[in-house]
Amino acid sequence: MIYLKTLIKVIDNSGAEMVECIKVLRKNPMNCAHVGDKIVVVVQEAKPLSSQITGASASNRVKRGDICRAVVVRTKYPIQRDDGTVIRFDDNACVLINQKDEPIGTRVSSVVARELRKKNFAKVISLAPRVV
Amino acid sequence: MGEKMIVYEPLPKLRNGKNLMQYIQEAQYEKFDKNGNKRKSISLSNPERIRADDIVTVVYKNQKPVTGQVLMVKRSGLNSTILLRNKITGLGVEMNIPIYHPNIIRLDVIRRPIKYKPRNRHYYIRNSRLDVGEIGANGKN
Repeated sequence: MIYLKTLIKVIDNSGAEMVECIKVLRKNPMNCAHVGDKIVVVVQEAKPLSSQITGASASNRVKRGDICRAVVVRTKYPIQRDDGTVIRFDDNACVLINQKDEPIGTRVSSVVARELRKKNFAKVISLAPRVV
Repeated sequence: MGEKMIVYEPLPKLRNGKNLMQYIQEAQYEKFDKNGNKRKSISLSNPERIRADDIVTVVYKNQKPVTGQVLMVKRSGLNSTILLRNKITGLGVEMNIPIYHPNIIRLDVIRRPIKYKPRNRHYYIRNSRLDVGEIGANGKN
């Protein structure tokens, strides 16, 4: 249940830590985002830029106030699966993506939901340490 | 009072006189739980039944097994479910699993507590000091 003004944790190494949802993409205005849905976010909290980080991850860093896209990877709201299993996580989390639906960061730090595979986010699935 | 009334033989009773819903339920149990193991594992009359506070692994036919601590067992016939809670990479994950699903082969109780907590539904342990730890496949934290 992610909609306007929801604060979401970011679990990749793009530099953002907390983002705020400002739009759920391709849904009617009364709807909310679930796992696998794309959203537009504003970065509210970001890790400070340090000179130690170099290479691709440095150029892809985001700052506070940046607007970018993200994909929801887990929700507190229960997800019903085809086999009747209902799964629920303790928090809402997302991964930042670019316009081509590729993740900005190079690492995903914690567990993601299996539903992402159906929505063609295989890259995020392969980066995640555990898929539930 | 002239003609004789015809009295027919009573029809044989359907399903040997068994209640329709009971008959259907038994047929469904026969279909989804042939050897009765799943029924036995949550039956209240069984002292070895699955209870809240146990650590259980659900073994599937087509996917990886799921392990967690039981928060509650919902007994409602074929729709019976168990709610498993675990921590994966430090994050709480809860799964409510219908146990009579044909893809579930069996339910293994890995570990039982020395003393059970009070109540049958342990929702209150979420995010408290009684919360579950990171339970691996062998049932250890």
